[in-house]
Amino acid sequence: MGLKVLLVATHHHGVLDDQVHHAVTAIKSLVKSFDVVVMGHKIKPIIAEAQRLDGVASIVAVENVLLKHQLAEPMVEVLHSIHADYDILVFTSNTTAKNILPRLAARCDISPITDVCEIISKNCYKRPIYAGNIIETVLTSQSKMILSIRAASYPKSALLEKDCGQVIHHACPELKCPSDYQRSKMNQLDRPELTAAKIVISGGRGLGSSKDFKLIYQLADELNAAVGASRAAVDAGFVSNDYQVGQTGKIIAPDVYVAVGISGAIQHVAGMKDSRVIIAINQDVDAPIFKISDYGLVGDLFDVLPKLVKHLQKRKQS
Amino acid sequence: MKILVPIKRVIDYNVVVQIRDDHKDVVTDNVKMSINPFDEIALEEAIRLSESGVATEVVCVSIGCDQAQDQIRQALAMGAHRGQLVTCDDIVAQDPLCVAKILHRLVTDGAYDLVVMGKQAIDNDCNQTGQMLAGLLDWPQATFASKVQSIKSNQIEVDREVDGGTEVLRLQCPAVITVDLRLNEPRYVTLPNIMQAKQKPLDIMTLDSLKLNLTAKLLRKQLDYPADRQSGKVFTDLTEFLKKLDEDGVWD
Repeated sequence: MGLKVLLVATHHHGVLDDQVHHAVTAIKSLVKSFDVVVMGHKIKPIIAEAQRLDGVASIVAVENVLLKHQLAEPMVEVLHSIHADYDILVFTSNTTAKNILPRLAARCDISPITDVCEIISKNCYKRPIYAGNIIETVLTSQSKMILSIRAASYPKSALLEKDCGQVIHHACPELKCPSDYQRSKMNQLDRPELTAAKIVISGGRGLGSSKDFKLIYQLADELNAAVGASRAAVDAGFVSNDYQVGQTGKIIAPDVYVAVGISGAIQHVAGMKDSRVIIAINQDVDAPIFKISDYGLVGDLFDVLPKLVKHLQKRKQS
Repeated sequence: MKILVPIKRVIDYNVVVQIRDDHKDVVTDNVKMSINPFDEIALEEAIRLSESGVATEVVCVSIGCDQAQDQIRQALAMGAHRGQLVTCDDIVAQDPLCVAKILHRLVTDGAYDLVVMGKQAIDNDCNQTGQMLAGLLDWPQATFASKVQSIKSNQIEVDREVDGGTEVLRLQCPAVITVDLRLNEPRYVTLPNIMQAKQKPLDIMTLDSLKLNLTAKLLRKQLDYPADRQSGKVFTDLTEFLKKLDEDGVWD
């Protein structure tokens, strides 16, 4: 008998969370096929999407109005009622999953391993500690495991053309939801989302003001890129805190990361060093960001950025 | 309302952490130690709830080595009313599930209404203990708090920082709240605060005295530095730089 793996698929706005597709790649390094659990309210489109995940055998669907906001308390009740059928439960590392996973683990008396960046075997995993400055190799002899996968460490798995997974409607246990959901305030974005974008343009303290941050937006729009910022730029009030890339902000791994006017403090590097290509523009030749960049340009960003935008426009036309 | 604030002694966030020669742990000899920054924010919030009359008592507890008394004294200087230290082996103190079980016992014995703690410690970056404690207690939880307000007797409204925005929850106490970085700015302690803190009660107990049967279920095999990124070419000429990016197909 092979390992039985269950992927806990979180979702928002009627689609699977992006990190789920990264977790699929991680799971496929361990087993050929796996099950997926989808919990929520009005989850039909999500079940349909989950059926097309590469390697999925069954989709365990649990529908209940109390699961609508995917809060930890009711989600844990459901997962606790099905976890015994599986050897390994796999979560993503997004905030929805981070909220649920440890509560479930304690209820099951399992020590979980979170933010896994490499699966060595079913008993051995690697994870970043100290803000990614150190990698810890962890061994476990527990017969059952709960993991979360760091999305930046695994590429996305593509959806299959046709449905594969068979849907099993699981009877929902009796639920209570002691934390009372009030409302959500989602940031309005007119650009790609930071954690999902292929190209990210980030600005740092070197921009000097929120007004001059428009140079970053112009470049981002030219490349259909997301906009990020260093902690220094956020603290200086140039942009709001959900733009922050770094240890205490978002950890991302786009195909191309462009750091403009960012010195490259450890704090910031921890959030972007897994990007495929890193480009840095900074006027200080000794800035640490150049040590981790594939392409660096020493120059005045106020001079360089408009020229870069013009170059890209010209390129597009030709 | 009685609040418990667990605090962890960690390597100060300004220290560049080094791996020991045996690759089993990090170097801690002669290294500056501090309260985990997230826990300091939790403590500040609890003290504010006490100053505004919502909380009657703020107790801070640390689980770990004897020297964690330093961090508890710091917490008392900030304004916690009393401190508690549970001494135990490092392997237990570093294991979120073991720590959650110890806290579970302390919370039950101490008749607390609210636990406020950091969302994660900056050493192991686990982000687990608060949620585990809430699960063991079967209490409601609000993680990653960026705003905490008392609504009415025993009801708290919490803004949570979630991917893409904020979510607002109302919790009926008893409950567990874990805090994020932007909740508040912890106060600085003054010399008179530090002197006063020496008079505040600090209760020290051993893990054995709690008669909990705890074993850490994870084993650290080794620590390594991540693979270095090779630095590429640094240009000073914009035209050359743009030409190279185009040639390498970076934008395609």
